[in-house]
Amino acid sequence: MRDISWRALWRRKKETALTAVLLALVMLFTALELYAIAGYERGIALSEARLGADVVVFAKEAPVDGSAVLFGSAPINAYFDAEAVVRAVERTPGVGAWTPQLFAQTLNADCCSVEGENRLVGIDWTSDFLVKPWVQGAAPEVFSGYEAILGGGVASYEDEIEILGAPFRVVARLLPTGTALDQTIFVPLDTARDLVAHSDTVVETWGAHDPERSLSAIFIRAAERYNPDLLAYQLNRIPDVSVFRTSDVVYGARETFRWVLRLLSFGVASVAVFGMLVIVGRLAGDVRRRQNDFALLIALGAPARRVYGWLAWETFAVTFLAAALAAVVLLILWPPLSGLIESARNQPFVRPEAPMLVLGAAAVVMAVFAVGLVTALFAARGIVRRAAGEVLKEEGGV
Amino acid sequence: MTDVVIEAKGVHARLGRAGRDVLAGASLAVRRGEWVTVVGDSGAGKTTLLYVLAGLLPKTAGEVRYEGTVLSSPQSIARHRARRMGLIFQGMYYIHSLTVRENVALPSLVADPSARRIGPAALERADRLLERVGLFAQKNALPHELSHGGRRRLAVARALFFDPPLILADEPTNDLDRDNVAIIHRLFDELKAKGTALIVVSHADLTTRRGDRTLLLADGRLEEIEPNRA
Repeated sequence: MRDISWRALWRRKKETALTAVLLALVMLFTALELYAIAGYERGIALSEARLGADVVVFAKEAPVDGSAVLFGSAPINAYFDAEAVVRAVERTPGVGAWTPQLFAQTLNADCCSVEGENRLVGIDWTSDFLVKPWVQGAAPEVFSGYEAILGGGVASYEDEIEILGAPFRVVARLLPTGTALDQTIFVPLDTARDLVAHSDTVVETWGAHDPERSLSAIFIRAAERYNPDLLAYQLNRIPDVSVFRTSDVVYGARETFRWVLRLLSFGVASVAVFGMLVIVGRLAGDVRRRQNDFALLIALGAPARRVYGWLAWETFAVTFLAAALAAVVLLILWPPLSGLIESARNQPFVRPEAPMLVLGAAAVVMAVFAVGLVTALFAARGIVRRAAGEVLKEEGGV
Repeated sequence: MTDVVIEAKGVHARLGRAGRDVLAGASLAVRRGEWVTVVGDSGAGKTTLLYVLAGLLPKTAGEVRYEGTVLSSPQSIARHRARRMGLIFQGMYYIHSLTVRENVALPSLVADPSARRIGPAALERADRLLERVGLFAQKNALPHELSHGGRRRLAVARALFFDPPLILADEPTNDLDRDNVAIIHRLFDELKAKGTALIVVSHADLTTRRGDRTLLLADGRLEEIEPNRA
């Protein structure tokens, strides 16, 4: 019955196109909602697993909360005197390891040869324990001068980039983390200080601070078996800095995410229910409209399974067509759509891996096919289980 | 081999679950090359009789023999119907997405369980039948593009696809103009001459006069009458 199926689809172009468009829309909306949920879940999971620091010491004047530091990509140009704070941190009991960072400024295509908006952060490679674990492949032993490490979300495929007029060599790229690391370009601390000292964005800061003696944050890992809460409490005594626990930030993000997840889940459920109604209504109506065709086949002597076969092929073909249509629309609309989904920079979002995306898309297509097939076969069952003469007498011919 | 192509004895049939008995002991036997016309008032059950004989509606009692054999299951009747019966419905039933020639060749697809497509031989056979009914020029049209008479002739061509020994025709000349009626009657005459048995349900006097025998369906039973009485 494949032959009849193709002809029925081809010669009923408008009906076929409408059905395919409806199925494609259901696929698109469901897939996008699931994509958002999967990305946020992955972001939260990665954030928790890979934050690296227990406590972050931060300039008191910074008008931001912890989630902006950990998950946000906006620059926080707040600085404290490095020497005094480092000395205090080193004296604090319970500090297992610490590493300083200097937040420079946001980079974009106007100033640099990388796409999108990214933070420029100076790090101390010797003490670093935040960036090294994320390096794809082997981490460089030395990181100095005009070298750069790109976060997992920084779009650049060149090994030579330009930052604020200076040429940099990309020595490593990071895996996605679901944190601010993804939109960050790391350069050596001294190089960052040189750049930031002449930066238009933050030059007004240098009246109060000396860029050569300033830091933006110190990430601290508690000593083994030392209570991070107690460590945070003790670090809070250091003047001119504020302290936050990374676990508190992740907890807050998770709470926020739960709310977002509820909204997204409601969206998915709504799309699923609405989508099912659309599929059921469209396909059942389509079978019902053509019940004379199916009754005629039975009347001519065809067994019921051939009617089912016809509809199975037809459903398969129209689902395939819808999937192709959805894929084309997705390819065209992907840049703005992904930006929309991933634009909540203060929320952890990690794009699901390609195999997961393919599997998810396949699952959505299969689900739509399954619903369509069950609907079509169930509608046909109502026709083929009745005596063909009854159906024909009821409908009359055209 | 029996000469009787179809024989019904004491057939009862009911319309709807709690409906009345439309057929209440209807009996007939039709031989090769015989043209039997069934007449009756509107609602008398003429279409129901044809559908029961074709196995398209269930009978509640009685027996139908197809070429001497009682076929007990709907599947076996369906297999017999696919090749050994030609059905011409009162309504215009077609696969709307198939062309005229594909519709005529449709029985080839139905009768062969392994067939996935309508083959070239079937399409050639359809072309010959379309020539016979005067529709060859419109073989690639879709059924709804044909005139009323054209569609009726399409149905006749489809019924003849396997050259079946029995044709069941439900008001085949209903609403047709004189030319189309003449075409169909000429075809039926040819079939009858070749030995095909015809059961034709009709209101029309012209058709009635052409049958070898005329049966009146009244009160669910068939009664033989003089041809010109109807």
